Amino acid sequence: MSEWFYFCLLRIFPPAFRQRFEGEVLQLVRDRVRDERGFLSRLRLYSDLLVDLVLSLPRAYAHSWVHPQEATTATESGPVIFRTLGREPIHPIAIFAAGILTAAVISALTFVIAHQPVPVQTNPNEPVSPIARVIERLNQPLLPSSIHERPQVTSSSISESQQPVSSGRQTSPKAPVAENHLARKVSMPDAANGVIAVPTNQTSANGVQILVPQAALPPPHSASIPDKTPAYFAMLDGATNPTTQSNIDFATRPTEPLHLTIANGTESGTNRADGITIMLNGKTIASRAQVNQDIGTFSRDIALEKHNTIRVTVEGGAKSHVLVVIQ
Amino acid sequence: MPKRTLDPLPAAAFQILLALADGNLHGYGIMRQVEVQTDGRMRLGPGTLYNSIQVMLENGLIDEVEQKDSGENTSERRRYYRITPTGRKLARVEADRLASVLRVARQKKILRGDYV
Repeated sequence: MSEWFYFCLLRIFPPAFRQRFEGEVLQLVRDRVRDERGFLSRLRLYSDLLVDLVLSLPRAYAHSWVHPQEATTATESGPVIFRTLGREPIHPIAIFAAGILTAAVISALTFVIAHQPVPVQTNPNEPVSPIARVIERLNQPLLPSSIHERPQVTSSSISESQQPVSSGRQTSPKAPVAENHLARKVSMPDAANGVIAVPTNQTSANGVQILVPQAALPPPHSASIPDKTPAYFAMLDGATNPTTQSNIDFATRPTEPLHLTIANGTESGTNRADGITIMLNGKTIASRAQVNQDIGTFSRDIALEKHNTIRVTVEGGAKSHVLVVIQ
Repeated sequence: MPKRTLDPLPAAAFQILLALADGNLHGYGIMRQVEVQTDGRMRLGPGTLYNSIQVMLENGLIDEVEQKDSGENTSERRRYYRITPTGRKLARVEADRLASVLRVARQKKILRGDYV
């Protein structure tokens, strides 16, 4: 009975200790039970065992570690001794405590995240970092109305005639239009959830696109496009306007290189064009191999002359569209 | 975890070394011998005894030998322990340290008697 009881108590000792000394400990208890008979002796035995258990158990755990074991491998020059770590299973109490701690930490983090909104910049006059812009976009999904409420562009003078608006296009009632400009809409079914109104000052043979040589027109989507005044701003869809050619003229030749940015499709990766080719003054600056279905945004530095001709070709389906910005 | 050291030597370990100084003993024999040599003041429980034995084995103070029990159960194999030269040297150092402590105590007239 005493031996069985102490055998149960031994379960709470470290596994390494039990593995090494369990038999000897039980033998010692067996010897004492055999030798210490009588009520008082037996009472003293039990009290000894309990006190010893209380005193020695913390010490056994405090000094419990994985013991190195030796394994030998014979070689020609003799045995080579490797010291390996002995196996010591993780104690169930440790697993339980780790589970409780993990649950507590996850709960605390969940509570903090749920009750602490991501800070966003509220003052529009202050410069906004790209990260803050992404956070703002995440917190406030882009709505169609927000596009129409953006400040629109007053275009510069144009000389070429305007193409009539095709049947699939609509004019936005909110878009401010310059006197000598025709406001047009380019179909952006997914990105703008409908249409977007921007003025234009250039035409092409197979469909007018947008050319805005000045003024502040923020890009309607894609946080990767820097928020600067675009020198050229074109939105094309692959179905109705696969190719457009425009002229970009400056009063003087730009001394600093400009940046070409292409946003293909929507931010979520849908409605991308299959291939985009851009030729600037007869030279290919973006090819189908560089900008295709797999590419969301593409950018590179370009050098412009005083008078430039840019030709953009978009290959894609009915809803595929692309945004080209030169800044 | 760093290896356990025996500096200072715990009382239980010192008593075990003293118990093994006269010959090899198994666990129960060590416990009895310690009880005898301390006039019953120290009775090592199994946990304390084998914790100490584990540390002393790791530090090379004692060795493990296997021999048949000389008692009634001759077929029973027990693990016997014997003191190593390192253990004997450490026990001597500890005894010297205690002796010097006792000398000081006697000089200070805290302890009477001339057995040290």
